[in-house]
Amino acid sequence: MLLVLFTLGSQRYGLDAGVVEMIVPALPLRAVPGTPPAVVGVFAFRNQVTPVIDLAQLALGQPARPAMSSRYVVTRFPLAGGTERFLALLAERVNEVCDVPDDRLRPPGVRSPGAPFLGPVADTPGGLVQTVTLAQLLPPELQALLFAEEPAAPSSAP
Amino acid sequence: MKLRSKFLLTVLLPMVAVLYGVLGWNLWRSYHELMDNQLRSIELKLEDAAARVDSSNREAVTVARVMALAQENGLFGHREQSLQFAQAVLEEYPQFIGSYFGYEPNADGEDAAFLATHPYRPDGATDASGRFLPYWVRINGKITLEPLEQMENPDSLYYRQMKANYLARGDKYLITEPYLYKDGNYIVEQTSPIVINNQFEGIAGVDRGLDSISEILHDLEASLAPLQTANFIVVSGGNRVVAATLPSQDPTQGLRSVPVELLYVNGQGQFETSFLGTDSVGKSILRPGAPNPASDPNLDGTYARLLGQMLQNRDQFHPFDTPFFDPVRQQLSYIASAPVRTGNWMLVLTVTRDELMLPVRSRIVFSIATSSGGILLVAFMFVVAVNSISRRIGRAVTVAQQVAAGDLTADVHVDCRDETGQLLRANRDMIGSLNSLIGQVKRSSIQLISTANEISGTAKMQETTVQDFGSSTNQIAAAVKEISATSQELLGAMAGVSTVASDTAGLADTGRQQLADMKSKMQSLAGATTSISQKLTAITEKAQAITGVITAITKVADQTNLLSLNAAIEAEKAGEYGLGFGVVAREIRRLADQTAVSVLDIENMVRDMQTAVSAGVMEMDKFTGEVRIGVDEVGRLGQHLETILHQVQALLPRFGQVKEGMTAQSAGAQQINEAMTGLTEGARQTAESRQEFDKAVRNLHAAVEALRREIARFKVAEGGTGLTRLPFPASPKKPS
Repeated sequence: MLLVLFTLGSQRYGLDAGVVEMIVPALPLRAVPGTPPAVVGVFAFRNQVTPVIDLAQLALGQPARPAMSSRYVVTRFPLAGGTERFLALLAERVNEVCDVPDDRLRPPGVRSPGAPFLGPVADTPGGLVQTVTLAQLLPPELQALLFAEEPAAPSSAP
Repeated sequence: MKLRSKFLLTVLLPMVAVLYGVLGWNLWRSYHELMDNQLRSIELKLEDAAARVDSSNREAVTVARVMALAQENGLFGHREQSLQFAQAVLEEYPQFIGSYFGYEPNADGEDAAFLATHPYRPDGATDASGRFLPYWVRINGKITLEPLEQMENPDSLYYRQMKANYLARGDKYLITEPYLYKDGNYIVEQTSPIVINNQFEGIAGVDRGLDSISEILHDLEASLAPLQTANFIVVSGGNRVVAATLPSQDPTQGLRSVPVELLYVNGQGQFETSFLGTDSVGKSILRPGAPNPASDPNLDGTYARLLGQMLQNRDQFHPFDTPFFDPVRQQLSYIASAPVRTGNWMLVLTVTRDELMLPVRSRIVFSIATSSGGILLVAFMFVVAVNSISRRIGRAVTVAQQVAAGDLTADVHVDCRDETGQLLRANRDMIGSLNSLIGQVKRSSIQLISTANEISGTAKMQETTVQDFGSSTNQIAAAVKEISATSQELLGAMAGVSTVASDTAGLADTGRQQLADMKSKMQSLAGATTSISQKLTAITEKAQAITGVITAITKVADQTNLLSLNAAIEAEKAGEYGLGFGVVAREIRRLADQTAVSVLDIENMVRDMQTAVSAGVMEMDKFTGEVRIGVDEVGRLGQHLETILHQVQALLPRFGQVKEGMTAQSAGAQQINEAMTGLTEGARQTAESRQEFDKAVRNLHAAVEALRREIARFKVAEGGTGLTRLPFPASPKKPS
């Protein structure tokens, strides 16, 4: 499977390209007051107001560094009723994809109770890359905050 | 003797003595007058008191007399009415303790008949024979009836005595001696005879307790206030004490009924009663067998003696006489007495001298205090006045003595305007005049001496100068010759100096021209440096432009990378159909990455170049500054050389002037030589005339010194002009 690689702290992680709609440059956002620090803001993506989550803030508690390679990975987030919504993830060094055969995926070895979204580990030429499961990414309360109302599916969902 | 002592001895002492003498005499007289007044006023009160006792006696006698008159005028023989009458009298007069009638035996002829109707009772109105003898008596406030007793006793005071007096002299009343009646009461009785048809038929009368008389005495004492020690004694016609306020050993009865001749005072200041007894009718007498008190040395009979003397003339008033020593009060006391006509009594008053004198003494002490204060004040003011005068005169004398001794420094302080003040002021003016005169003379003499010394010194200096002058002229002549020779040598040297100066001027001019060349070259170097700086700045601007291009390339590479990523994702979504597309996308991404790496290299090179150029610009700026300073230095050096050149050129014409001066100097030296010879001759003549001048100055000195010695006797008030601090030696040195 194809992984979109990014960096959290000093480690490389990968997201399944199957859930990625598109990678866009880090555009200026409209900030939403009163939200947790991980919610950076919202922007319009294909006529849909899309929230942006800072992965570094969510996982490590510190905001992503402003660099040219810090980009939004727009994903299709699966909801409980089988519908999907666009969710943009702000991550550092989103400048590489890596095709990993499924048989090269290995179990992570250690389960982190604080980070349930960490999935199997892939051995790539650039070193070990841990996969991130999109469905497990948001804590329930944050998910409820983001997708509480309007359970409609994105118009362009496949 | 001093003036002050003379004043005090001859004026103040006699004056004070006379004043005190007059004061003492007056006080003595006042004392006697006041004491007399005091005694007379108390005597008047004593007479009033005697009148009161008399009126009390008269009242009792009158009641007795009225009862007798009632009997004589119809009541006689009416026994029942008489009983009621006597009782009514006693009830009417509470000051009496008894009232009675006493008939002669069977005087009315009714004795037997009355006894028949009224059986004899010890508490009845008759005796056992029926004789009418009713006696109403007040015992403890209750009136009871009993018969009279002891009428016929030879010692009885009231019945037999009255009868005898009536028969002998026709007396209308009698006041008995005080005696002790039944029930322990001391009484006196007032009795009057009942006479019908010139026949003595009996008596009527009332009893008085001595208590009532004592009360009167206490009232009288109170009227004598504020006197505290005044005491009364009432003496009866039989020379017995009726009542007294004197202390005695028996406080309940006092001295009642005691005969006057038995009034003795014991060592405790109390009346002695141990030798007293009572006779058959209750009168106090000398107890049979008791020792005669007159022979007892421990008992004092002053009272018995004094009262006895007064009783010898009892009808007269005895005023206060000389004081006696009262054994009761243990101090000096006065005694006086007044007669009480009714009953032939006598009232005696004693009072201590101290108490009488108390008001007098306080007035005398006040008089002495105020008078002494006045006298002392006068004396003090006199002493102050005398002191003031004597002090000023003494000061005038001291000042005059100082002036006589030649001391004119005395300071005379004038503080008043009277004659002594004028004397001091005259002294002060005299000293002032003398001071100014002597001071003037002293100053003049000092100036004179200093002038003489100056003249003498000046003359000596002149002499020395003249002598020096002679030798100097010779030296000058020799020196003038040397000057001539030296001038010639200088002329030669000046020519050499002139040549060297011309050479120096030439060298300086050459140096100035070379410096001008150097200055222009330095300026062109500064221009070149500025040009290099400008070019370096241009290089910096170009490098910045390169950086802009690099940024643009970087952005393109970034976009390419993004594009390739999205392309790979889309290819993945396309599955099998996207495989070829995915390969292309990967290739694009690789190219973009290479571009990014190349751009990074270029960026680093440009940054190094910019750093180098910046350092070069800074170095060039520093160098330009140094070149500019060098140009300024060269300019200043050229100016210095220019100045030197001008100065050297200005010197050249002066060398010529010096040369001409030297020639003239040589000729002048010869003329000076000739003039010197003439001067030497003049100096010798001056030295001769100075001998005469010297002698005159010495004479002046001697005269001034004599004057100075004479004036030195006086000590002048102003400091600094005294001859004791002369700024020069007392006698001038002899001229050499």
